Amino acid sequence: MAQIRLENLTKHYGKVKAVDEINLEIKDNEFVVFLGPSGCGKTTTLRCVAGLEAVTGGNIYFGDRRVNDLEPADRNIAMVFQHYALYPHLKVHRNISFPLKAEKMPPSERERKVKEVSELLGIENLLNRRISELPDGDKQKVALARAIVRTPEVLLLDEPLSALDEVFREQMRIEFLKIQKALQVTTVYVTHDQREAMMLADKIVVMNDGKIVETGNPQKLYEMPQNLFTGYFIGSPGMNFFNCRRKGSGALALDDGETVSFSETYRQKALGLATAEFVIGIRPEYLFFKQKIEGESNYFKIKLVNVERIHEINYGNFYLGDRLYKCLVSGGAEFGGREGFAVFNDQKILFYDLAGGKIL
Amino acid sequence: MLQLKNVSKSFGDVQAVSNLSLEIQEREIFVLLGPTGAGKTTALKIAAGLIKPDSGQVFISAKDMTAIPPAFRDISFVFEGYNLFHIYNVYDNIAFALRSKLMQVDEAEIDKRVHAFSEELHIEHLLDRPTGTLSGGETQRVALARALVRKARLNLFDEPLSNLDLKLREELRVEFKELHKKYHSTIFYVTHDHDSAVSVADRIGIIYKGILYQVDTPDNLLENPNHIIVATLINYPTINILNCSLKDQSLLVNHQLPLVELTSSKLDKIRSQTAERDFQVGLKLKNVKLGKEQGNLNFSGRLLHTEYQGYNKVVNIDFEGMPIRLITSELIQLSYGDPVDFNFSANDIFLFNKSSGMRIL
Repeated sequence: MAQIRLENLTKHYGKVKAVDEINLEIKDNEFVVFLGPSGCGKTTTLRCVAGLEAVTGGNIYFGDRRVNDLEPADRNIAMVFQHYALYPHLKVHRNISFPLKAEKMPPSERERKVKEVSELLGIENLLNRRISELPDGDKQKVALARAIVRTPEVLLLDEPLSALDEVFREQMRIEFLKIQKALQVTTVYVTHDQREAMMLADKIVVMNDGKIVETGNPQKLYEMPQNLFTGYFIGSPGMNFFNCRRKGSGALALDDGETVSFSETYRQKALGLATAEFVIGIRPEYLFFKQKIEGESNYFKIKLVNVERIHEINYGNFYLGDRLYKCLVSGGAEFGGREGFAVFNDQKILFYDLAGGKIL
Repeated sequence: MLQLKNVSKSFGDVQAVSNLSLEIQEREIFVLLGPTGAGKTTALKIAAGLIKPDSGQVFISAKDMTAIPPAFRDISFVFEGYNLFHIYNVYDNIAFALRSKLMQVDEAEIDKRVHAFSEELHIEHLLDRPTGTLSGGETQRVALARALVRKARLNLFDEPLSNLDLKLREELRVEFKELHKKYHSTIFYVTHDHDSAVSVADRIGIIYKGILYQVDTPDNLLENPNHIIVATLINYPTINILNCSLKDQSLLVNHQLPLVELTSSKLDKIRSQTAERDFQVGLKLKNVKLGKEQGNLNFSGRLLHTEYQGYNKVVNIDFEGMPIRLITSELIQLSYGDPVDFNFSANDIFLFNKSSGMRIL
């Protein structure tokens, strides 16, 4: 059993609070991804869990066992780093069997284990090759094989794909998924790449400035981010955020003065908010460009700058003030420069507090 | 406008660029797209005159420039590291090249242009600031302004947006296009970022390990890749690839499982191109559908995982030990290990030669 529990985990480097009192529970067999910009504390947290960093405060539990004072070797974890850390002059087989040898496992059993993991990763035909001869993608497979050959309770991965070619990266993500599901091992994976997090995670832990901003499954974080930071960080293209102001007449205006038309229920909801200024969040996929209003009740006026094709979906770009926003367009480049309306699905509107960025 | 003709360059044992030929048209945005180490920066520096090719020639406006130093090529460039002068403020950085003796621009004209371009790029309020105090996005805008203000006949950009976070990249991409529309400059742009390439390019060249595979518009590359490398790099998410062998009329997956029965015309087309039996089937994610459909090729596998990418979900299926992925907007109510049916049309298959990677069908 390997649930992991972080209790007020804190790590300071001098005056810098790299990790600032975080609390988190990771379930047995869960695939958890720490996501955040560089310097957010995600790697430091991982290194604390691994035992590579002494914590400044708080507790780390594996199951019921407090592991703060255990050496990395005694935690039954395996780690994979960005830069493989393999022995380049040794053959693949020796690299994979290395941790088993260190454990003094008998040769026949060692052989069986190496065969098992190399088949799982599809590298059984590379066992007699030297690491230095392999392409990067295969090196990372070997590093992963070496990590899982001991059947660790916890697998820790620190940006394992960021040194790889795009060509290999996506293939390796699929490989990670397959392995993690097949082995049923509790996995903590650190990345700054939101696509990677969305693809792999059962649960994403969004971090910023040493703190956990939000945790949840990819769908929840995408559909209903609890704060602006998550909405901003997750999704590509990112979420649209409109500053909105309540005017004396009861009308609602966007930041450049453009008036929004709302259905009555939503207008009441917006007018009922405690603050006169707030932020409306809408994903580009729930905002449609239309040249004419035909009975819709939620819209505002825009002028498209151009149409951009991203992953074979056409997005229209438009400005309000000097901020850029995106919506869906049912047409191509010929829509560039056209005036019309951004029509939205009011089920998908989120209101945020302008000052604190929290959902309202 | 710019022509590289049979250009090669190696560094020690590494062939950075081999026999590269390409032609960039007047006023177009040409993007060279490839992963790290593909040779794209080398190609750009050869165009700039910063690297001398081992062989081949560089023409600018039909004139052989191979031996001409960078300063006399009438080009501007923006590099990944920006190379701004931190001892100067933003204004002086932008004005720097215009003040060169070669340019002979008077101060009044310099002032006009610096203000015009800094307004375009929303950095007018920063003109007095030392460049060391700027954020990443601001620095990038200054670097762009400094390059564009020269109105050089050719602008070279090396990963101009890749150091920025996603949101800023999305914004600058749009501004970049708009500026280009207005000033009609000719742009040679190299990047590893697929989204930026597809978004800004008039035409894209796909380069990998020093070799240029295909040059075309983004749409044509998506529809008609000529090589497995092109299909892999231009699609995001990347395409499904299945190893197949040809036996009689059938393509077999893993030498045993029939994937598709080929029509005789397709078979003839294969035979006219190669005698080999090993192929790779490429299949776009959007062409694989959930469920069964009559007339299509129907298969089943087990669910690995559903990626929630927002608008689309990517369903990962384990198909006889090989991954198959598809894109759908449906909500998937399945969990790990559940059986999943999927289908695709035989017409949507790309067939690539296993050894050469060349497209056969």
